[in-house]
Amino acid sequence: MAQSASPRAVFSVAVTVEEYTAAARIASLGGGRLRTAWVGFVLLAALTLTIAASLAAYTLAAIGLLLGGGVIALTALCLMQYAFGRTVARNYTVFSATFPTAEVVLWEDMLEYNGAYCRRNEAYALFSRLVESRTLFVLQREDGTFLVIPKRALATTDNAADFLRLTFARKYRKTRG
Amino acid sequence: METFSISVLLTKDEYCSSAAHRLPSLGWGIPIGLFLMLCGVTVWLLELGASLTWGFLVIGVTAALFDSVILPVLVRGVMGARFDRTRHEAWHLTFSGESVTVKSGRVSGTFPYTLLTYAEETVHYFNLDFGAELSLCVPRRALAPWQITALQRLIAV
Repeated sequence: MAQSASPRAVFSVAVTVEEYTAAARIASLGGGRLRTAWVGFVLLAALTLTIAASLAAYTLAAIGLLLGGGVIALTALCLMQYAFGRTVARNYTVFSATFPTAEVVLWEDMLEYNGAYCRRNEAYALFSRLVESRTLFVLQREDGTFLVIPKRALATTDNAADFLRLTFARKYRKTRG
Repeated sequence: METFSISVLLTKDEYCSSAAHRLPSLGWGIPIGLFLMLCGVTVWLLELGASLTWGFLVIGVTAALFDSVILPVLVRGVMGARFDRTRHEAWHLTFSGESVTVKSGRVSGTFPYTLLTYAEETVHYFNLDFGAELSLCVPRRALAPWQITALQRLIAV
């Protein structure tokens, strides 16, 4: 078993609210509600344009419809951003209480994420993707939740970042953020 | 609350239904839908075109039903596929006066009720969320009547 061998890396990490928020944004855009929302916005825009085109003979009505659609889309976007911010702040409260400082152990086939009150053992196969940003590794689960590993925590380890990239080679994505 | 322990293994239907119930709703689907339907009626009254009227009405009805009907159906489908792909295990839960202790193959820990962010009772189960860290679905079939009452009191607080 993998656990009988020595782990690939062991390190401690205290995730800050900025890092958690950035990770939540990456996870949402990568497969969560924000990604779905963009599909909705594109559909709404297409429908609005179609209706506006059919109103071409009534220029004022078409312009009004386009402006109305734009206002609705912008309002919806602002509401979603607001709701997203509130949800992330609430989730971080739980996360920081559960994992004030987490000890992360990377094994060959799974990782442990051990906090003061909670302990997670998760096989890499159960994560849907690994997203690397400038400062973070975000391990996304199928249900839209995630684990965040700030790169600063990997400074004390030997090739842990390369190990993660290699392990998730088929589910790896890099973002510029 | 008197301490009690249960073991839970969710069925696919419970898993999908619970996920559909958890969907957060911003609540603006119905107002937008009604507004669009009103636009449709206005277009019809002004005789601007039957196709435009139907366009507004269809989009309006879709928007109004999106949160309550369309999205849950889509989510149930997605969750059904996800249930087949991911490993589902039995959960051992111990509810005490202050916290719930969870043990499964992947997660073990103690979550105080003060960290509860979402609680809901439905006809078939209780949903309890602790942020994004833990989502519990406790089916009523796994609970004795007094345990159901205890969870109802917990949710009410």
